[in-house]
Amino acid sequence: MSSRGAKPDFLLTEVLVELPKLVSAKRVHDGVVATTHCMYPSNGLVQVTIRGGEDTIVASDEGGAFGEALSAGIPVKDYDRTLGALVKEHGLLLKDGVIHTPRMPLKATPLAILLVANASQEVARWMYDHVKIKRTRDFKAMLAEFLTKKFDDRVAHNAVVIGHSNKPHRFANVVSLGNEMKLIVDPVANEASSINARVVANLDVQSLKNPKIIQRIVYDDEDDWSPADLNLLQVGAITVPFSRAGEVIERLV
Amino acid sequence: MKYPIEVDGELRGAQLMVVGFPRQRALKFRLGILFPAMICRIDYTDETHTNTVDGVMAGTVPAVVDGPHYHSWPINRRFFRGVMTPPKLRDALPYTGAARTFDAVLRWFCADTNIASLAGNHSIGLPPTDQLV
Repeated sequence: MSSRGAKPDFLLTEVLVELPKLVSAKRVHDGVVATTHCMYPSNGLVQVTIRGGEDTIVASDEGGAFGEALSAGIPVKDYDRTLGALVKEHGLLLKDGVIHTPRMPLKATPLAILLVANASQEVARWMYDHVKIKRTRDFKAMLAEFLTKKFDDRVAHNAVVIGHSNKPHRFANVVSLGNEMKLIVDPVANEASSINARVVANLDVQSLKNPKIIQRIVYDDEDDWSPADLNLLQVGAITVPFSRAGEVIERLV
Repeated sequence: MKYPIEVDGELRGAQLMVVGFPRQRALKFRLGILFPAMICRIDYTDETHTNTVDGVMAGTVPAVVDGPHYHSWPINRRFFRGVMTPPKLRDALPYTGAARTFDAVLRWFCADTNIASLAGNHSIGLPPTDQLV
């Protein structure tokens, strides 16, 4: 640490030597790629590609902003009209997800790079802030946790029940209710393979006509289920929406 | 390109995502797991990634990573807040695997994330370089 008033030359040297190392430029087959100091929301540095001849250039982010969003799982669609205005303020263009300058004089290359880099960062940030990801909650885990809390070691997870066909079926939750009574609480995902698998397994067990086995299929009612799929679930067993699973199970035990 | 990942015999929405880059001649791609947002990702690219102050101070990540890097789940799970906004995979470690082809990196990633059963003749490939999505 230098004393008060002394010139912190070591600090200046550190900044002058290390900061430029972050930015770079390299030749690619049809131009130059510059890595800038601008950061995308996930901390990656924005790259700008410059192509051109002896007098003019075009700088582009090569879809970097959209690629950044896409790589985070953000559903990317045609935002050209929505975000066109955002980049237009900088005099830039947006086409097919690529932000680029119009043809500019060669001497304006540094400006072109800065404008595209900042616009690319801004567009990526807009997408993080404005486009929501529809999160599918892991209701199967929530259901299993609820049952474990309620029934403690009387609930068996991933338990095997032999169906009428003699085929063994695995069920996520089987609760022992005493007197050999069993309650199967079977969660199903809103997806064809899951629906088919759970309906078949429940139907096979239902065919046993064993009065000591109670079956319920639980579906996540925060999802958009088609009436046909809900009807199909009913073929396997009585279906219960997850939001009401607690009270239904209370009544059964 | 997205490929469904089977979990305990069922498709619960997890997907392997392969992202290619338009107009690229060098090998450049991203591989990650969507559930439903990206929860971990390897960026096999020539990009420069800067890490967070917390990660650097804790000694878990270097300040800057140049070239291929890995946003693993263990070092990024602290950025997940259970909200509807997309998570940001802010921290990354340099990719230190020996693999240098798409298929070999894919297998390295699958091994690291416990994705099993990648058949010898699997059909997961790099998207063509003439399209963004």
